[in-house]
Amino acid sequence: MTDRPLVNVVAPVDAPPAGYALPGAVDQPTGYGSTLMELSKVSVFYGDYEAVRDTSMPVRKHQITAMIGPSGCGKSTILRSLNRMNDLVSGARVAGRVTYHGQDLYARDVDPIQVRRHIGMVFQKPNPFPKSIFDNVAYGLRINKIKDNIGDRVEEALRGAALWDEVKGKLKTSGLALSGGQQQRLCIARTIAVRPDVILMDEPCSALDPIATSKIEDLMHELAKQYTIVIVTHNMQQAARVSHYTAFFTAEVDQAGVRHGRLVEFNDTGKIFTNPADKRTEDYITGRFG
Amino acid sequence: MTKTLNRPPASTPAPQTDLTTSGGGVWGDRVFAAVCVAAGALVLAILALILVTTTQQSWAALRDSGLSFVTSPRWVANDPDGDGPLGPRFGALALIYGTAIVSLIALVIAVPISIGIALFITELAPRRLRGLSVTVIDLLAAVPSVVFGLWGILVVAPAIVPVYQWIHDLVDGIPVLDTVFGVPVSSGRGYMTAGLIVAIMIIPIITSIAREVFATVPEADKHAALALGATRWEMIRGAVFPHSFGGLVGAVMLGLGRAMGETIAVALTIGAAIQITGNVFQAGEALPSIIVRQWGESAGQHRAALIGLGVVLFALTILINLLARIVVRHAEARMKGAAR
Ligand SMILES: Nc1ncnc2c1ncn2[C@@H]1O[C@H](COP(=O)(O)OP(=O)(O)OP(=O)(O)O)[C@@H](O)[C@H]1O
Ligand SMILES: [Mg+2]
Repeated sequence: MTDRPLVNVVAPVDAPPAGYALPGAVDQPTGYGSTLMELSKVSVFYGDYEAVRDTSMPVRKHQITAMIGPSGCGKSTILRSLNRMNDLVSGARVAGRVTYHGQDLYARDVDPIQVRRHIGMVFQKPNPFPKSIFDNVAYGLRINKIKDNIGDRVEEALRGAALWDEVKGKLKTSGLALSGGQQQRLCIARTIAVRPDVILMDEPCSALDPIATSKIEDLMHELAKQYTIVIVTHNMQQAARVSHYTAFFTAEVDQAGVRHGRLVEFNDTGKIFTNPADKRTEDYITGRFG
Repeated sequence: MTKTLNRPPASTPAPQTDLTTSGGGVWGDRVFAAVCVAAGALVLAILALILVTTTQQSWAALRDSGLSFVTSPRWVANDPDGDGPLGPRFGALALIYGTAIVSLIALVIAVPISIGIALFITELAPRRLRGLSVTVIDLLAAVPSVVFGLWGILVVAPAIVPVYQWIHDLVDGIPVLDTVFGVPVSSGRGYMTAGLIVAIMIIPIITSIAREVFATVPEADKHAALALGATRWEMIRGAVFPHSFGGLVGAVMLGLGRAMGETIAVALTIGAAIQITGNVFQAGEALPSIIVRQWGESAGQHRAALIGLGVVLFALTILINLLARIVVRHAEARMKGAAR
């Protein structure tokens, strides 16, 4: 079991030198691979409970960063701390620094609404609004006071989410009348319509069948050309297939007997899946966990 | 119905692998279903009975007046010169109009306020304030309507005349507006005052239902909006309202039903003038209020006609409820698409 690679790795296998160039990638956007966001010693508390402790990792530009780990280890918690969605949970508090373009996201004068306009989010369960397909995508544009060429922007977003061909004739029908996979791509279209910098995805495929999942995975590769993506997934094959970097989290019990999420290892996806540095990572990816 | 395809006869003990429901469960379900059907049927029967008996009681007047009972604005219960050419006339149009105007004013005032309060309570208020607001609103619902009516006639009506006058002066010369907000009646009792009082009375109902409706909006939808960088208000418009439309129409309909049927508070504050005027500051009369006002002194045809007004009011509320149902069904089908 252990000597056979569990998954088929297509992401970069070797540690990229300066610039983090993907082998064979041709049209690499500028800034590719530089650090866009950085977590330093981030701990997230829910009330008195420290759910995740001391997480430090980068998020690199135009790359896909995957977060994996067992349930309850704090992946979603860390993901939500990247665009201040934790602010919506009463009692939640973030310690440490999360920077975006070098700015501290939790600085006093930072407006969480502006943060979310730059750093969008796609959720586990497809959650289109009970509105038409068009209005779903246009919603973000409207709240951003974008009035010109809404039609073009909607089309562009739907094309970007690989949904245009399936819905172009029925933009006026309800977003809820689509299949689960289409709904999730609609949610992606809704997110990219406002042209964010970073897209956070929390288990975006866990409610989808394999075909819909592979469509979204293809889409992620496409999206990485324009956006920086952070994805939480339970599916290790998926992490290996789509991501360039992988962060492995686990839950540890401290001396006081309290469970905390910890980042065990952050590295190139290839490294994590073929040659993990930490025993716990190896156990997890080879299925010997718990 | 009588075929028991999968169920073994009750006498033979069911084998271990039998997947059909046990006898007791079936009976329980059947009894429950029967009770539900009976309760529903009973409600329908009572409604039908009310409609039939009231129509019967009012038949003499309805037959005499014919269609003019609802098309004529002239309601003259006691002909001043005996059996002269005027004769008693029973036309309910002015009263229908009064009910419509008072209800409309009440809704225009109460709906935005109620929705605002409900949104505040569900989406904005800090937890401590939430409970307090709910209690205050519920207290408002506990005030008896006659108290509202007395307050309206003793306090509001005299105090509000200068306000009406001020509004009238403000819009003077502007077409349409200076008719709608015309010269106020000196007592202050009129459509507007009645509408105001009724608005206060229906705010608690609309608020509490709207609150329930807003509470059912999925967190996921709100988060979707907020994750796009929506402000609270943008989130409410994008995620909360589309989900709540049907429920809000229901809330408004309940408020409207209450407003149309409100009797004593309207009777005290509307001014008792049977007329049709576009001026909301004028006195008027409404369907339920005229019934209580004239009931004691009525007999024969007059009494039958008053009962007829009740039938008209009943029919109107049913009609409006059906209309609302159609509106909601259409809107929901459009919004939710094929899913659900
Ligand atoms: N809103 C909340 N309030 C209190 N505690 C929370 C909240 N959300 C998460 N937690 C706790 O924080 C810890 C991490 O939760 P989180 O949802 O981030 O885990 P996860 O890695 O995303 O798990 P899963 O893979 O099951 O989604 C858990 O112990 C959880 O109970
Ligand atoms: Mg999670």
